[in-house]
Amino acid sequence: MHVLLVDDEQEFVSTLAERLAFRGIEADWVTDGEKALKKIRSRQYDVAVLDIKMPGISGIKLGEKIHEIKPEQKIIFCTGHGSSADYDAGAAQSGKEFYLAKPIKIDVLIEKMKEIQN
Amino acid sequence: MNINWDAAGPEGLTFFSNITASISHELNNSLAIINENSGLLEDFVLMAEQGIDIDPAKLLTLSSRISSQVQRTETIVGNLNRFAHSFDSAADKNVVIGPLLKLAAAITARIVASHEVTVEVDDAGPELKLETSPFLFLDLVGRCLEYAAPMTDNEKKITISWQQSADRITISLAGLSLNESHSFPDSEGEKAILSALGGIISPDSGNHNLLLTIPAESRATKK
Repeated sequence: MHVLLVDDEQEFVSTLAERLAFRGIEADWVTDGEKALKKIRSRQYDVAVLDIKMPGISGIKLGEKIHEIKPEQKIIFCTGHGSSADYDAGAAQSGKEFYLAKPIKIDVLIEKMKEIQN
Repeated sequence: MNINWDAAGPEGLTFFSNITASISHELNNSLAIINENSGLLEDFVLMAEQGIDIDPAKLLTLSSRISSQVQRTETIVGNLNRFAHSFDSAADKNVVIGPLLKLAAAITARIVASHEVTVEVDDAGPELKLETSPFLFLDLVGRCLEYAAPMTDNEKKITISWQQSADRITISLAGLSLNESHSFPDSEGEKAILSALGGIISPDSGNHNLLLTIPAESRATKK
């Protein structure tokens, strides 16, 4: 599996990428929406993991732009909200998106990645 | 205090809600980094158990990263605590303006950063004490920063400074390219907060600075 991680907290996203690599998942990471769009245009990712609250392009807006480029791109949103419950209804509607609350449990993330891929 | 709470109360609650939500995001971000680094430490332990050599320098790096995030979290919690205590009493307090402006900048940093803007407080200002409501002062300065953030110049940095002339203190938000079509304060609540502090908000002649002028002793205290 090859995934793209997008989060303005570089230490978070780089460490998560390293942990995913130990589990056999190749992960590219960037820290803002513009770089993410370049990556999305340049290659195919099974899943994109986007932080919702980012300076510049928010994760939600970035998700919309990604779907304009690649309508079938699977996306998992991460939120610093205390709970991801607020987003569940929206996620259920789209069928292409999931929401996870930070801090993320890596096993749950991988499970969601596999689930959304299928 | 002489405040129109019917108008200012809901605005104050909204500000409190926005700031605490923003701070909870910051805390979760910091916890997420601690979580990933401690997870990576666990991964290294598992690898060591499988006979793979782990460079001790890597472990030291992870430990140092966790320690630095703990310090970051302590700072965030300290700011949250000071913000929460800013409304301990409805009475005005004698506060030092520099640290209060730094607190306003810190608690609104993430909201302002959504416009890719940073805030710096210029330490060169005189040490001034202000008789005011710390909560309403933070609310007003925070709203000024939120208002100004989408209208910065190319440097995308707001610099806050202050000076005193006669019995008034002028707080300046510099680094702006203000658009006159946006009015501030806008709502009745914002106007009530400004009125309670006896403040005046205006752009400078070139629209590069937003100026907040308040009495050194607030109007509410005098009554």
